[in-house]
Amino acid sequence: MQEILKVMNVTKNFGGLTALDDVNVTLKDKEILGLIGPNGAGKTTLINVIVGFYRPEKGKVFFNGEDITDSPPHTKAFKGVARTFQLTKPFSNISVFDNVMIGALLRTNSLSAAREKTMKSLERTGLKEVSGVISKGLPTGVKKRLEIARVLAMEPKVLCLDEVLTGLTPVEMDEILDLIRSLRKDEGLSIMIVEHVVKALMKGADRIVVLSSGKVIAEGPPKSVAKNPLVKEVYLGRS
Amino acid sequence: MTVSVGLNLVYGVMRIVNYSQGELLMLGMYLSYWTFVFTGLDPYISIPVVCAILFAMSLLLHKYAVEPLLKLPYECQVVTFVGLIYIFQNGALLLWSPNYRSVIIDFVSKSITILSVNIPIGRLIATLASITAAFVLYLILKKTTIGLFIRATSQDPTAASMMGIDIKKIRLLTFALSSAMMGIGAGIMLPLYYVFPFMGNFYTIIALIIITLGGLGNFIGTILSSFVIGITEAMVGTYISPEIALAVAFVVFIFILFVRPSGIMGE
Amino acid sequence: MKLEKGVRFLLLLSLLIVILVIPLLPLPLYVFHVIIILFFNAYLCTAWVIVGGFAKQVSLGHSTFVGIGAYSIGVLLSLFNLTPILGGIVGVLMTVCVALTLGYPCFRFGVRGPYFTFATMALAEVMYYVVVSLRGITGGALGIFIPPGVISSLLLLNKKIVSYYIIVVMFFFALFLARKIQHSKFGYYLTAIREDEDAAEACGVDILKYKLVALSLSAALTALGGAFYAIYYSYITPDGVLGLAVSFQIATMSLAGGAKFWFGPAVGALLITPFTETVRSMLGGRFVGVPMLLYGVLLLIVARAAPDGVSGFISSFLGRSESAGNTESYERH
Repeated sequence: MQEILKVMNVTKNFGGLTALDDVNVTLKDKEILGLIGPNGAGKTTLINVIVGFYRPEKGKVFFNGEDITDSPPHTKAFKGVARTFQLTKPFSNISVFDNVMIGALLRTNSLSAAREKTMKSLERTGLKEVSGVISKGLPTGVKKRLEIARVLAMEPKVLCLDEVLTGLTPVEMDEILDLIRSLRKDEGLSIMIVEHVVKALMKGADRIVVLSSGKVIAEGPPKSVAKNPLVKEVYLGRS
Repeated sequence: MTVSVGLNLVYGVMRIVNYSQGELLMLGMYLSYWTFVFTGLDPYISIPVVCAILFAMSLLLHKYAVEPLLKLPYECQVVTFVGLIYIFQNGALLLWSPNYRSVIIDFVSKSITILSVNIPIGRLIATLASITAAFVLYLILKKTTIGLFIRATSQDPTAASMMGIDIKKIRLLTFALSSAMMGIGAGIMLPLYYVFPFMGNFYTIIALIIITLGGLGNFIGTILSSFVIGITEAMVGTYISPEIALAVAFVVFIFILFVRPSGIMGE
Repeated sequence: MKLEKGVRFLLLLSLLIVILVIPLLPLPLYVFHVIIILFFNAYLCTAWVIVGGFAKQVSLGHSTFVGIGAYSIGVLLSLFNLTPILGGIVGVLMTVCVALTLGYPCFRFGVRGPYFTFATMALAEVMYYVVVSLRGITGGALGIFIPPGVISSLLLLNKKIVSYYIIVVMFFFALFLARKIQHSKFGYYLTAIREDEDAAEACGVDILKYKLVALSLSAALTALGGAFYAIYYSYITPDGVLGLAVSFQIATMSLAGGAKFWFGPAVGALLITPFTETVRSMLGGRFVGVPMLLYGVLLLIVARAAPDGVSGFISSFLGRSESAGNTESYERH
């Protein structure tokens, strides 16, 4: 299978703290990759580097073979690499519909074309009924779906989901996981999920990468990672 | 310098920029002036009185005009404070007319000679007083319990309130304190310059430049950068022209803003 | 409470007729002047809101652009005897340059929110001092006198009436432009920037580019406003077109009126111009501070009670919200 996203030897420092230390991660085409690790392991930092909010001190990020390490976030979004945020960042004072419109306008200048995309995206994520609601007042679960809807409307090829399951009820979690799986199946997206809730990824992901203190400590199919003693040690006492 | 410290303090704790800080200085100076006229008290001596009055005033101000801003979007800050500027400036205009007022004290214009440099006593007192005030404030922030509370609230209001700190009171106190600081500034400035209703703007701008340079919220940075700006302005003002001095300060400011957006010692 | 299309059309039409007819009414000269200023302020505020409201880059430095627009005409006329049309073009070009010069470093290096406001404030004040000190070119604090010149003599009508129609046209132009922007991709993107810059970037919005465009457009329009000022008043002084005071007025009128909507600033100008103009007429009087004081109080009340401005208040009262212009919902399609 082709590699669609490749993180090579990435090191990211913040002052004296090394958040990412020579990290190598590969996302294959149409793969669902789970990225797990304890708090502070560097998961969100990795997403930020991939998407362009941070520049790595060393290393490169490749998308479809192209070096996108230094591109700004909006360029990468246009190229097809999109992300959601751990603490949801909806456009608070406008409606759900308008939120998704902003994503939809990425690939078109026509408002009506954007509206079409928005409607499709809202249907896909089950947000039809709340499309007119101002996003400020929405519950977390809906906001998370809004983020996905917005990102969907951007027609990405690679999706980086940052802790999209956190704060959801088990029922909501299953719904989102189903949605993610269908995104891979129907839209052909390659998805990297950063998660804290490891159990969910054990079911959903094709492969798992474990990050701890900025280093990759394990990689492979869920079952083998679960048996890895290093991983168990790092997760001492956690789910 | 006192203006910038006051501004910075308020921002640090509440993340609200008080654009009318300069106006508070103006009011302080007027208070000082009238105190002098009515009681013959030397402006330097009446500083505590002026501070107390400003402190009290700002308690009211905070409750009605400033505290609500915490929940409102950023634009509202601008509207509120410009509104206050209008109120203060025109209030002063109505009450005290647009004439320039000043207080003449004998020894202020005499100079002493230190290290072969002639320094007018008035300026010397002003500088020393500002430094002392800033130093005292620094000590308060670092060493006292209240100071600790203020710093805590500044860094993380939620955590602070969970620790039992009454953040509402702290905010009130901080705002009042920063207004009181204007009192000090007023006392030392009155003998040197004159006061008129519209003088506030100038000081507000300089203060804003200074604290941006030093890093919004950062105390030491403010002191350092006020020296930088003060010296630059003095040198340019003497050798080239006073008006260009401000322009130069601005250029320096813009330059630093781009090189290090969070200031020399930003947060 | 949506009015029927027919009724709305009639209302607008009658409003339009009233506006067109005003110069012909026997109004006292002073009232006519205030009406002209009203449109002028509304024009400036609508220009401001493109960057200050839609994109929320609150600028307190727009007086710079007004000043450049006005002084370009004045200086070119008095020094080189060039027609105001050329002066106007130069003014627009210069303001765009200044806007880009200020904007690029600011936006590129993440100078946001209050920082940006400071920078604009400093710009405004510095421009004031620079103009005053360049006495040879700009006439310093005394300003420049603009003789009636070619254009006015071509227009045989009363100068005031012509100015009125000019500013009305300018205002409606700005209004339609603002409306068009709000309902376009540009407007959506500016709203995204306003709401959450990081999220906007993640959605593919080139923040630098859009902020710069908004600022430049706003600046250019404002400069034209300055040009109008120069021609209308025939006399430009630093106090009239530069400095913080002017900036404050533009910004607060717009914000008080409502900076999220294309018609908001106009409403603000409508409400507040009476205050500022009353001051001018009272110049030197005993109570000269009163109107502005009341203005200040009004601002405080508006900030507290109607954070989205007067038009926002009315809008939510009517049960609609214009957000990025649409607040669409699925059902409407």
